Amino acid sequence: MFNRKGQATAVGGVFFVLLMVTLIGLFLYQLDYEHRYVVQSLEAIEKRKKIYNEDLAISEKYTITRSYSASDVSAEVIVINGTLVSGSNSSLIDKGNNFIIIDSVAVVNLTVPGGSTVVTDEFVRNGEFNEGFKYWNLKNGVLGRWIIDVYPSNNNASVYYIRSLPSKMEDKARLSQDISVDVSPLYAELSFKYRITWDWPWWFSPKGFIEVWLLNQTSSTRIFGPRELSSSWTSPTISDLKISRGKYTLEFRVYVRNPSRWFLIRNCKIWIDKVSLVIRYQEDLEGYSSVIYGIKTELNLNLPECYNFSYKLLTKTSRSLIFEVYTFDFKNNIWKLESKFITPSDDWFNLTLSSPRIIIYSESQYSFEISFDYLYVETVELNPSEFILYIKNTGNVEADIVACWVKNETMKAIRYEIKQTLLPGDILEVDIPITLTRGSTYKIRVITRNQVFRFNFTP
Amino acid sequence: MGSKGQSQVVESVLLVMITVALWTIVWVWFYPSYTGMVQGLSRQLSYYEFSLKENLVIEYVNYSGSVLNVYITNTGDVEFYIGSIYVNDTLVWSGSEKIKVDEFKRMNISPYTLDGKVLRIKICSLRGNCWEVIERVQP
Repeated sequence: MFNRKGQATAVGGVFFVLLMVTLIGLFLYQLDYEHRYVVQSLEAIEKRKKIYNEDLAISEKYTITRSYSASDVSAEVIVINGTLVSGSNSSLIDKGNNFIIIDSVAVVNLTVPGGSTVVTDEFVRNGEFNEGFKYWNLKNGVLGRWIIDVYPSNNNASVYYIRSLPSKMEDKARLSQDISVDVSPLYAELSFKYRITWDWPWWFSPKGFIEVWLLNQTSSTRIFGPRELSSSWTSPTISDLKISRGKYTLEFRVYVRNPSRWFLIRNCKIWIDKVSLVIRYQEDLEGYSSVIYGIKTELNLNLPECYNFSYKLLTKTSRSLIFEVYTFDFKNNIWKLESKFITPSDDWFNLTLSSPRIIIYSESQYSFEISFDYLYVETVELNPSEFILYIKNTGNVEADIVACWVKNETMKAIRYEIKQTLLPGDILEVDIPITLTRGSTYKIRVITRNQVFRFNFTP
Repeated sequence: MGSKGQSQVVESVLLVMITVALWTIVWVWFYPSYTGMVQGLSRQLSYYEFSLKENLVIEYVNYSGSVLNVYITNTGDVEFYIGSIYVNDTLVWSGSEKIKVDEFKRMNISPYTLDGKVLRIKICSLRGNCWEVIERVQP
């Protein structure tokens, strides 16, 4: 059936098969071992990677807000200027009833005695004829009439105008203004300007004169002239006029004559402008007297030790006032203006302040009242029994919080077990039931599965 | 069949039997070594697995009355044994202290003389993992 060679081949084949099965088994086992090892290693690396992505933000809150009434803080109202009408310190506890009412007193009594002063006034109205002949009285002559004319620089002037002045003819006119001097003049000065113009003939001139009179009921005084008129402006000033209190008429009189036997004069004009009567006189001033009413009140509070505080004092003023609130600067021993405002009239408002010692001051021309109703005090104090630790996961992987430690310079480190997992963004609040000491530095450690986070604070 | 044919069959059967018998002898010799090798690999794999799952956080260190206290927590996934503690690269404690998963433990190193404020503390497990922290320690 088989020869010797065939038998040997069969035996070798069986050996080979058995050997291969064994080797393949060993190979597969080794492969599985390597695979499991690599997987374990990768898992471990993945876990360790978290340490680099783990981050916490730690903060704390060690204060509490407390409210007090006036009696709790021994609030004391001291009236410095003013009259206490009703109420006492205990009134500040009773909301809506039993007010402290303070009436104002005269804080300033001001009397200014009368006196006198020297005043200079213009007594001629419309002296530049810008309003035509308003306030002026006109008296025309036979040949001419008073008109308003304009000369260069757009100035108005009063003009006695004669269209045609025949040979050897003459004419006269008056221009006057009633003046009421109701003062006692110390000095008076009259000024004006005048001239004469004509169109034809050019080879001779008309003869003209001007006079100024000051008339009253009892006398007539020529205070200027007669002066011959010329074709250029003349500006006389009559100083130190003798004038006293009373009614006067200031009168300009003009005269004109044609000296020629043969020729008439065309468009003859006598110009008067810039009439001014300046009087200097003494004016008596009346005395002045005024009373200023005011209230000055001090408020003292005896507050507990705190980080911050504020209080509201429900207040009313009987009229709208400018209210000034001063706070005491303990460092420099002075009162500093804290705020200044206008109060509503006869309506309650809250005076919000943050100083334990204040002065309220207000004044007015009229007497007034200030009412205080209720004092509400709020303080921010050190929490006497605990503080809150806020742990926020600011990393991008979950953080397993194991525990936290608290210690300060004198206190032994205390460990608080937490064992909580925070997802990214989560905040954990941990109440730490210890009594903190102000000014002492507390060292906090927050332990995660991978690392230790440190945080210090000083309440 | 003739007598020649019968003897050939018997011869073949005998040869196969002899082959199997020889292989059995070889296998009996090889199998214990094979099994030992497989078991060794399994143990090594377990060792690596456990080693990778070890983790420790040194939370706090203080010094009081010539005792250095090191507060630790096992934050790994397996329990393990603390084998040695070094301070500033000096072996200050050795032994075998078991620490369970999530267990918080205080390791006392006593007596210890504080020779500096800043200490480099290294804790090693018996599996060879080490964790180190630098602490400012005040008496």
